[in-house]
Amino acid sequence: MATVSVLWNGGRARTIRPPRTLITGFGKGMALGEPNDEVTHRAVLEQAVGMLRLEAPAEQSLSR
Amino acid sequence: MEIFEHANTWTEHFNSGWLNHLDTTGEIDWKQYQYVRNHSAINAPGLDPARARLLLVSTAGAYIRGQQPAFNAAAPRGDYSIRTFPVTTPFADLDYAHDHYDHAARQQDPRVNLPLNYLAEMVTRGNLGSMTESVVSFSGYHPDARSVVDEMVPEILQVAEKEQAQAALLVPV
Repeated sequence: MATVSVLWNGGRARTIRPPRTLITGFGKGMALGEPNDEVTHRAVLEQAVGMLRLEAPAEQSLSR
Repeated sequence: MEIFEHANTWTEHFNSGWLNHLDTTGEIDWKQYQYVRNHSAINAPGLDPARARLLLVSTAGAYIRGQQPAFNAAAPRGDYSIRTFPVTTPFADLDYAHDHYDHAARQQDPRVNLPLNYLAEMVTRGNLGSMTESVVSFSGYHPDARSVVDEMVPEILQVAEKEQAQAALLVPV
């Protein structure tokens, strides 16, 4: 099973080394972005789901 | 390939340090806590998401109000149980038990933690094959990494296998 994680902060995750991570840089409690920011939410999810294509390990930052 | 390297050493340190301090004083001392550190990453091929069935895994502590027990969010050792609920569950039917994040964003817009509508859109557009019938939910405060690996992960994998998931998206808070 291919997995991808959307993280607001990659620092702690890097020590665990999960297969695929998308670091968004938003605050804790809103890894996908500010409430009601649908454009950003969609962008985060499209990039995260797209990362499933990548061979693991893979890490990306949110590209906007 | 181990998903938790040096698990026995970590567990000994956890039991004799952080957990022993909690048991003897009733207090949490993060200075005694050692985060899991893996040196090897998992090498695995990717897949085409347009042909995959995706399982959403959320750490926000969501559960169906009145139908499922709340997570024990106040437990200093954490609650390692999971809940599942249909991806079609209205947000109005959900409640949340998680004492370790600010719920303000979620209260304004629950999609920041449970982006089910966006994933459904991706299925409609053909960017994602399908969603599993259920979401996996847990309350993401888990100091005991051993219990995560030995208790939670097998339960989540059981759901994934039953619902024939080929991919999983983890959205931590």
